[in-house]
Amino acid sequence: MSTQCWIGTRKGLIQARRHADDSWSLSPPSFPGDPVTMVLPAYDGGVTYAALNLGHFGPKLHRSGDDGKSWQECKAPAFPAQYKAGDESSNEAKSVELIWILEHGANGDLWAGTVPAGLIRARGQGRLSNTGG
Amino acid sequence: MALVEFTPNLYRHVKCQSMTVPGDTIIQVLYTVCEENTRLRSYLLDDQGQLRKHVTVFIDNVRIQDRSNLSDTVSASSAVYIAQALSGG
Repeated sequence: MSTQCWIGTRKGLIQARRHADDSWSLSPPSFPGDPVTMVLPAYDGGVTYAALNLGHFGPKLHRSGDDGKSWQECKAPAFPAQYKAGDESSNEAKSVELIWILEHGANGDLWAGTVPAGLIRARGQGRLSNTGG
Repeated sequence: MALVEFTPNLYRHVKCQSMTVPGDTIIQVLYTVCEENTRLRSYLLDDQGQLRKHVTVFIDNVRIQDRSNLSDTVSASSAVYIAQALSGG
């Protein structure tokens, strides 16, 4: 059974750990003050992901290869660029506003469910050696 | 070369310093800023390369008018300020 859980809040990300005597302790928050919309724990010793919604500055994705001790921002899921200046039909082209779910896929892929509705696959992002931009 | 400055609220997310960049329109200025500081791009522009809905830009203390095509003109002596768009409520 897992001895830890992640708690994403509107004011940061907290890690709760259960100890041998069944007591719990909470870590200092990562991303203090920022809304954390989804946390994907590491699979098989790999990478943990945290999705943030920075409001004015958009959704962001961070990754940790050391169980949350440090985080690096990586490229967030995005819709294909379709907007063309002067082409009114492209004015409604969508942009990700929120990452609300993440899941590990095969071969290190990362799946993201978004608002507006979308399912985006990042190939190979689950491996720390394949860091996004 | 326009002087571009950023809201301090960006500093806690991305290292960004004031910079002088060329450009006759605000879209040219913004794209140059994002080329010089690639991490800034996703903070200022959305997936479509348009200014984020809740980010605003002032040229010489006047808010830009054309948010769709970012065609507002910039002069060599302009001061450009980029900030989050605050509203009440």
